[in-house]
Amino acid sequence: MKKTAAILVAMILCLSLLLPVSALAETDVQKALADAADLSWDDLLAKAKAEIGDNELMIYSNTSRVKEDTFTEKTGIKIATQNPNDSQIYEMLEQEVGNNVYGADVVLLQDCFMLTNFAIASGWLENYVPADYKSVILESDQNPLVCVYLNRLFFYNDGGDKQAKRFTNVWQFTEPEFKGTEFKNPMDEKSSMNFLISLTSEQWQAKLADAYRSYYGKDWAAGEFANISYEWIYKFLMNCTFVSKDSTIAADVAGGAAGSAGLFVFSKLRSVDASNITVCANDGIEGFAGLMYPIYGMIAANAKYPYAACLYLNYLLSEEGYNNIFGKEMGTYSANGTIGISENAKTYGDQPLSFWQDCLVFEDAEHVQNVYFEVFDQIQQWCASK
Amino acid sequence: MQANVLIVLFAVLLVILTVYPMYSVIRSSLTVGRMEAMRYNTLYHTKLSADDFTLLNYRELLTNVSTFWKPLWNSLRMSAYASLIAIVLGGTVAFLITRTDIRAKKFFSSVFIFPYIMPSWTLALVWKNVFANSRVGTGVVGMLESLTGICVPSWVVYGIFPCALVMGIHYAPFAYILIGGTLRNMDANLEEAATILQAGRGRILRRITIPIVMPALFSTVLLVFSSTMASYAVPVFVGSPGNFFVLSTQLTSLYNTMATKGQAFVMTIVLILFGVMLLGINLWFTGKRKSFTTVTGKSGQVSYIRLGRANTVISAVLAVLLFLIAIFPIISFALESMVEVQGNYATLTLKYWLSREDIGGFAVNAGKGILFNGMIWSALWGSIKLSLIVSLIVGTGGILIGYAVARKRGTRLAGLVSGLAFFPYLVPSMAFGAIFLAVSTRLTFLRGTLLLLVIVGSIKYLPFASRSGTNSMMQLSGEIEEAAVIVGASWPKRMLRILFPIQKSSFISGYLLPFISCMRELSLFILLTTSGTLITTLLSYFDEKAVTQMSNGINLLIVIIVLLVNFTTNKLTGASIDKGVGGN
Amino acid sequence: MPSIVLTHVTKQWGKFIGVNDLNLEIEDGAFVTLLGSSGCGKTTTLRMIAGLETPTRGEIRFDDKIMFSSDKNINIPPARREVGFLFQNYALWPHMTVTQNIAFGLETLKWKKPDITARVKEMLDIMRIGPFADRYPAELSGGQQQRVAIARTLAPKPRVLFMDEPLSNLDAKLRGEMRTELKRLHKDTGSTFVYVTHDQLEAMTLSTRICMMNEGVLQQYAPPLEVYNRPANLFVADFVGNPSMNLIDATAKQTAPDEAEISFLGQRAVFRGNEPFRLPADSAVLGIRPEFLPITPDGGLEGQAYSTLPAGMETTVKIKLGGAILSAVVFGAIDYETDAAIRFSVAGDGILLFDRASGQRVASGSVLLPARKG
Repeated sequence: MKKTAAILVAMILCLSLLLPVSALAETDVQKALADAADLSWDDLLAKAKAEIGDNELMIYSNTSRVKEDTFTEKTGIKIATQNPNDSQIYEMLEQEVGNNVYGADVVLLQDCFMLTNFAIASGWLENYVPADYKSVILESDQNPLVCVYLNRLFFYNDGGDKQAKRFTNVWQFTEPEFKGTEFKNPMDEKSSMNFLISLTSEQWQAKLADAYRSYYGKDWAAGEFANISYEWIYKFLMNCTFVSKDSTIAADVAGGAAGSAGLFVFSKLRSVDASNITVCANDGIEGFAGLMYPIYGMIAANAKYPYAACLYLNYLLSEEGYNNIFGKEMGTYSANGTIGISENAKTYGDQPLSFWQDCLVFEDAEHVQNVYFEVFDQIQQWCASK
Repeated sequence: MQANVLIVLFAVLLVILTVYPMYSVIRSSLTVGRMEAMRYNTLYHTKLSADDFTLLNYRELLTNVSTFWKPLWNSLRMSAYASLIAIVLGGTVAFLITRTDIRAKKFFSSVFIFPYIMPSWTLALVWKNVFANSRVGTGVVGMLESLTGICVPSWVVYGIFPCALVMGIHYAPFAYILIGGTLRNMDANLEEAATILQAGRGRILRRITIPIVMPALFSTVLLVFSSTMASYAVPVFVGSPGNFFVLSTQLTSLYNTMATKGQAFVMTIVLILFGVMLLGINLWFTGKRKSFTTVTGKSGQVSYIRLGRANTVISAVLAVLLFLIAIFPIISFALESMVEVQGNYATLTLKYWLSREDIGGFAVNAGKGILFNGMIWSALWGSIKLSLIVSLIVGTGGILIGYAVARKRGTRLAGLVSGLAFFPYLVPSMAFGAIFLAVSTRLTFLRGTLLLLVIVGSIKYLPFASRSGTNSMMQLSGEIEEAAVIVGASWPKRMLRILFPIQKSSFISGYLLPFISCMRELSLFILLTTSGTLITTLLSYFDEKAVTQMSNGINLLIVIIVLLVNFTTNKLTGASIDKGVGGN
Repeated sequence: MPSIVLTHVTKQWGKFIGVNDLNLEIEDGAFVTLLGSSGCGKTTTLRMIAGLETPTRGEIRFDDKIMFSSDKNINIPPARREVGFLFQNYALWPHMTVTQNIAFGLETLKWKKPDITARVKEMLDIMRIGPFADRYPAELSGGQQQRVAIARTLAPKPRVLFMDEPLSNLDAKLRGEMRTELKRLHKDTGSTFVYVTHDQLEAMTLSTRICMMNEGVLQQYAPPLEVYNRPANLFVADFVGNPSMNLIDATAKQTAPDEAEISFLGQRAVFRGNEPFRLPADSAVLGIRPEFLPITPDGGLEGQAYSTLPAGMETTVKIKLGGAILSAVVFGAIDYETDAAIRFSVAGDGILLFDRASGQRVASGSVLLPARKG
């Protein structure tokens, strides 16, 4: 009896000793990251293995694709994943890193605004750019590090007529004649929200004005709306139908009447009969053809295995890693500029990242940062009063 | 004596287990997080920083018609209609099965609970598949149109109508179980006495039967109304496309946006207040002088109402209805798990079930077919293990709470326990999970353990069991137990040998309902466990990868497992969820 | 008002026969008791007459109006049979006050408000439950609940009143009181009462006719005293009467149309019938009510006192004779030493002779014991 009590006391003491140790880990992670900054794959692998041993590398990710075990096959390092949605990841970071309790090593997440203003500003996440790919990743994608880009595109049902060219101008989506374009509610989908906010930048105001001129044959004039983007956003929100899942939108467009349209992630095309579906981008639509948003790869400030975490990010940006995890799908593009799109994706009419650069609204971190709350509130009101 | 100990014990336990979540909710509604502070500072030029006290969350939300008052009104309407539908549907079926000579009782009785076993969105999906037509939305042609050419108007497909109806059907088994239980235990003489006094069927129903099943009716309304208020999947699926927005969808939006999270907590408090109000009405009703002891030990001679010629018609109508809401969804799951392209039955294949090799193709790393997929089986086992433990804890807790509350009926403490036990039900799963994530960062030994999941699940599902436990204990007259006290039976013996066997069926539902809910819960656990631990976390993986065949197959598997558990329980104990009602 | 006529009424559940080919006529204004042990079919019979249970075969008429007929496929629902029914467990509606319970039937009949109020008041007074008018059933004692139930049943002034063991849940004293009340109610209302009970005393004291049933079969349907004095068979003889009738195995040999030589318990005697009779066989049972065994010093029989049960007004003496124990009743209180010798005789012309094989009563008459020796 006394013995067990003694053991218990000892255990509690050990535990209380361990806690302050992990409190110091923050600087350890930064030290490790600084050290890893110049390490190539092989050096990193050696350090990572020594560090993690038989333990699991914990990954929080808003996409469950990272569940693949090819990384383990290649490196012998075991991984565990948890796939909450974006806001849940932020919640977990707040609770865990915020209270200095170990949770994750690697964090894959989206939403530039939250990442910068919430997680990074609070010091919960560290940035790391794999040395091997520093030269092939755009400067603008390096801090915070973008791993992949995903897009959501306007699609429509062409009724079998590949020359239908139904949507040639983005203003069509605001017209009652084309009512019912299916769209994920921006209040529930951060990429939808950031897309609409990005659209209010001067660059896109100008593009919208050009499209307006060519569609209506006159110049846009301020009136009811403060700027042309607001007008497009308002009319589009009133004209569209909110549908909760990409797969539902894809199925609705694929099975719907000729002319029905929707905005959804490219990869969902493969779960439906895509024979009657045309990508608006390929019809050369004026204005824009959809949106593009990044998935960032970060390292938790209190990671237990920083080297292994670096190694994982290195893997994600390698051609092999990208192909294993995202490669076969259309609509995903590595931030590593040397990796192209797969043959499979091409058969669905996918194009390389450079093609989309001009015709998709990219998440514009700088602009979003400036106008976020203002535009957000406006969109929230519009969505709710639909 | 035991009732005194129990009620104090549960009062203390429930205060500890529910006060912290409650405190968290209230605190979060009154303070700002980092992002909220940033938002208020930007928009209102305040000088708030994280964790500052403010009433802005309340001001913001309660002054906003489109994000609060309109959705609230919609939620209230939807929940009221859903409760009504659940009660009419479940009550009618319960009445038909307990009081008439309708055919195939056993079959109807066991199939009627299917809609609850299946996740609510599956019914919404079926609804859409049946009624979608070329004049609604993108013009996908549904079954009704392709078979008959009939195009129903848009409001039938999207909006409040399908939301209320689907939720009503989904929760009708609650009504069936609770009302049916009372009806079955109710002395038939009470109705016969009115018959003799020349009251017609309608009048008897209105003046005698319904008032007597009123406690069960209230319990049903309480559960269905609160569940519907909190339901998210169905309103988003068939409500939003019809521009029908409810509180729960708004709450989720606000919650998922860090900068408006506080408002989500204000909404949670509103949901809780409505629940408390309903609970108050319920308590006021059962605490009244009228005694609803309906089980006297003597079962009156029940004479079934003869339906006569209507029997065949009513049975047929019920059979068709049950096929549509209970069997058809299962068949469609099965079919969808066996086709290459959704909806195209020319592409039938069994590979998503039987492939011993990686399925490959676009289903990148989906792994082997469902039956040979280690990942799926281990997650399934995880879910079953968790659900079993949770249901054992919750079921037993529910019976004990029911016992204590029934014996101490009318006392303040009984009201407190009964109310607290219901409270977790009113906190949205998401928020509940988040609260316990926070708990686990303080009590780190809980992190990532099964114990944490068990605790969260047990608290969250206690309301089910405590409702059914209280309900059935209320019906048992104290004399039955006293008879055993007289012969010197110990308290455990009385519980096990007397009280439990008499109300076995409704207690068993107290075990089975949490099991079912736990099996298909995702949002409650997602923050607390790694993916692949539970089958639902894996389900979202296949969902995201758009391997719909696998996710449909897994859904089917969950339904089958729950049915199997129900069936096994039935065989072993002679009781099942539905059997509490009749059909034998 | 109606006489109730049952013809060939049978109720079957699967293979189990609850009531078998019952023929019964209940006259207007009668107080008929359905008597029997539990499971004998008496409650089922009552419920069939009331319409709460559907017979498998047969016909039930109220006067000339057919209420049920399996042949003609007629089944009038209970509500339209215009009867009253008092349930064993009262079946008071827990959610209604006493007043509401009583008024319910009147409201159903669409009585005018003032009439209802007046009638409820009247019933409350008659049943002496005025003070409880606003209470809920759960707040009443068993006796009070019983009165409410009766008030509720009588309020619409039913011409026929069915009662299913209405007194069985009451204590002995209350039961006695309620019996008196019921009998008065019967007189006052002039209604037909059909009453189910397993208590033979209740049946004896209350009814104008007893319908004795066993295992679904009618045993005897006659006025109480006839059932008591001239039971149709051994079952009825044994069931009715307290202490119960002495049933003694005997051998009998017919010596004349109205006479037989009998031997029982080692005694030989002559049985003289009140009317001529015919013994079907030698094996018989002698039925002697305890009051027909007077204890007298010059009695023809000698036994030993087995036990004495004085009840104040009368004493039951158990006498051991020839291996059997007989009951005798004497007026007043006597006490005998255990095993003391007792002399007694067989008196009167109310002695019964049954055929043992069929159990049927063969004759009633007197027993002549041979003159006492010495």
